[in-house]
Amino acid sequence: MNAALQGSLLAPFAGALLVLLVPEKLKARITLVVSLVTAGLALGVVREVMRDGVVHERAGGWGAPLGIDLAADGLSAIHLLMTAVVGLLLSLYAFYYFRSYDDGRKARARSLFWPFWLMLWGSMHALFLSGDLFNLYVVLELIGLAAIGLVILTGSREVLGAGMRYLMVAMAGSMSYLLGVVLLYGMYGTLDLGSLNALAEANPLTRAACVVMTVGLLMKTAVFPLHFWLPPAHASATAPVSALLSALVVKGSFYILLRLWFGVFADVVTPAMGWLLGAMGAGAILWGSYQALRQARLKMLIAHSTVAQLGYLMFLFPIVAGAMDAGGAYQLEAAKGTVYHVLSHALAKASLFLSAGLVMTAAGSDRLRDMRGLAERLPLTIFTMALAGVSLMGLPPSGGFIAKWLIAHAVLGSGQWWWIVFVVGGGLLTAGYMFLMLRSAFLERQDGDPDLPGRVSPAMEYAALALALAGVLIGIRAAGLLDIMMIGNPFGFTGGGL
Amino acid sequence: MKGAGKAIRVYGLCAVVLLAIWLVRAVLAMPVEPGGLTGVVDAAMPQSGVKHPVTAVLLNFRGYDTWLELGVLLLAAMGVLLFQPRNDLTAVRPLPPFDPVLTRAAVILFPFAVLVSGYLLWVGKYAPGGAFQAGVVLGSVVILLWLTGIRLPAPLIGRWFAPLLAVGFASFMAVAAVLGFIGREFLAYPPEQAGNLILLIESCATLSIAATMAALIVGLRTQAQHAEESPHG
Repeated sequence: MNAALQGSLLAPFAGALLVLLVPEKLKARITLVVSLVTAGLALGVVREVMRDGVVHERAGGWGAPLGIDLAADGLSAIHLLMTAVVGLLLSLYAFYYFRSYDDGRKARARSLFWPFWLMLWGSMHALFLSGDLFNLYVVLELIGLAAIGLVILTGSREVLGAGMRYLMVAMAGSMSYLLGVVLLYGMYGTLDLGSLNALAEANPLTRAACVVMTVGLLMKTAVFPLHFWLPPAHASATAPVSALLSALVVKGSFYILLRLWFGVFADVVTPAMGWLLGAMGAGAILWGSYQALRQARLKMLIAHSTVAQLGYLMFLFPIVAGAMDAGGAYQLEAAKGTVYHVLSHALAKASLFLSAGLVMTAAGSDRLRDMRGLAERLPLTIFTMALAGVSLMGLPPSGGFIAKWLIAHAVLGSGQWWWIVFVVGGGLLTAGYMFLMLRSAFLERQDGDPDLPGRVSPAMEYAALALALAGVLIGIRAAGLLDIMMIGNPFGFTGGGL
Repeated sequence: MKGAGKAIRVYGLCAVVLLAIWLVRAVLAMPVEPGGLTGVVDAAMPQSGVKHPVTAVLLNFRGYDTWLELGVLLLAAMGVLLFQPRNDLTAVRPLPPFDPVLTRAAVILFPFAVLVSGYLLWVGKYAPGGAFQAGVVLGSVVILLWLTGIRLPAPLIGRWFAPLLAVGFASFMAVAAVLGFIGREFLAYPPEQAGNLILLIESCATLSIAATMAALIVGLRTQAQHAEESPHG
């Protein structure tokens, strides 16, 4: 019995039902209160993990294999922390953002944003606390449907098209994952992750499960070349939703991938499979950055940047599958760097998308050339975007720097030096499109330019700024966060000499 | 273009066949006598509060999954509500009655369907049945009434509709909150109360499943109508 853990599952879902049912004028305020409670309970779980180590809870009181075991280790704690920070600031931003959505279709979007968002938040908690393969499937469906509901909020033709494509990919990915769950259950007779880690052997069936589950999860994570659904969905949604999708949702399926490759499939993965994923990551960095450099619209640029940044998460796999050194020192380093990248990208990207929402409000459009003169009009927002850019590029002392430095070091140490080309090259490409993004904001306004009509709320600017600052701060306080991440030894090796 | 489409179909077919062969090979490697969890389930049945293993797994042993699955249903229904002007179905225009015999038949069928639904809900304790079957029967008859042009009771598709959608998901949560409050693990029913709690949750879930089904069919049907009508203003 763990009160914080139970509460962190119940509070966001109960809040979602509450805001679904209460009158319109209370919804936003109740969401803010529920967000505070939810984030507080998540921090409570994190604190218990820091104090007592891995926290366990048996759903139904039965225990595996009959029941479903819930657990929070360091990896769960880091993800809960990330969700709490992003979630809280996002709720604050949305509180002001949706004020202008007050008639007809837009009022419907605002009314249902709150319950969809809290359902998504609860689903993220369920994900990070789950210790059961089938339960993870149910959670994937929850996250997928909540995310699609958020994408299609405004109901325009554009978002419906993007949402439909997203739905198809999400379904295909879930089915592929479920097929693997069935295979593993048929072979080992349990769905409990902990038991499976101990039971799994290298045999054709486990390998087949590994392939179908990995492919399904990569589709949901939008890893090149399975990323095609992401830019339209992330760019056409409202600004707070884009932030949620890029910062949190795609990281959910990646989290499961991490758990599986370091658990059930640890003995099954082959160097070839790792290489393939590494190559996909390299392709993502090149293709996503190239596309980002070509975009004329701010949100499409940021969405393609997400495609590129997700590529960095893939270099972990060739290092893990390569197993070139004893003790797993470089594997561990790569895993730390990769999770750090998840974290810093979540903060930076959420900040960028929220800033894009402010730019669209102020400039009335998200075309890059309409941003002329914004540096004068919205100095704080433009500063925020630059700060988020620092973390995405991987400049010290940001979180992105720690992530990329750890990944680069692991890549070199494990003897697979060629990936460094993409790690460093990706940073340069990021600098390129970040410069393009900000360039027009610093240009003088010209006579023909339309007026900058909109006013933005300072609270929204501060929320975006806080996220960007957090993205830099986690670089300065990295040691503490890395220590939390390692509680319960989630990656299965001790790290040898490092 | 046509050639390209054909090539994609041929390659696609080859890929699917190869994938199927590969998966069949993998499945053939599966143990012939699966251990599974049948034995474990049988051993725990006396504490489950019900006598049918499927109900025990769905509502007790893996009740946590079922709770979240009801959340999935709620999200689907919320997706439908997004295209209604309010969180209900009051904007849905009833179909014009077109066949008096069918309308009459639906009216006669209605009480029996409710009875069957209640029976299915109750029998889940002992035999195949339970909330999902009961909810589908109930939802179907509501849809049948609507299709034959009968106006559904205003409070049911109005003020009470959103609470009906939510009550299944909420009932699990209320039980979990109370159990947590008295210091039990998450959704861990006391064995002596398990049967009653399961019946409570299943009754609520039946209502939500029926309402969700009605929302998915009736609520989206109006969308199609609006789309057809929109060119004429």
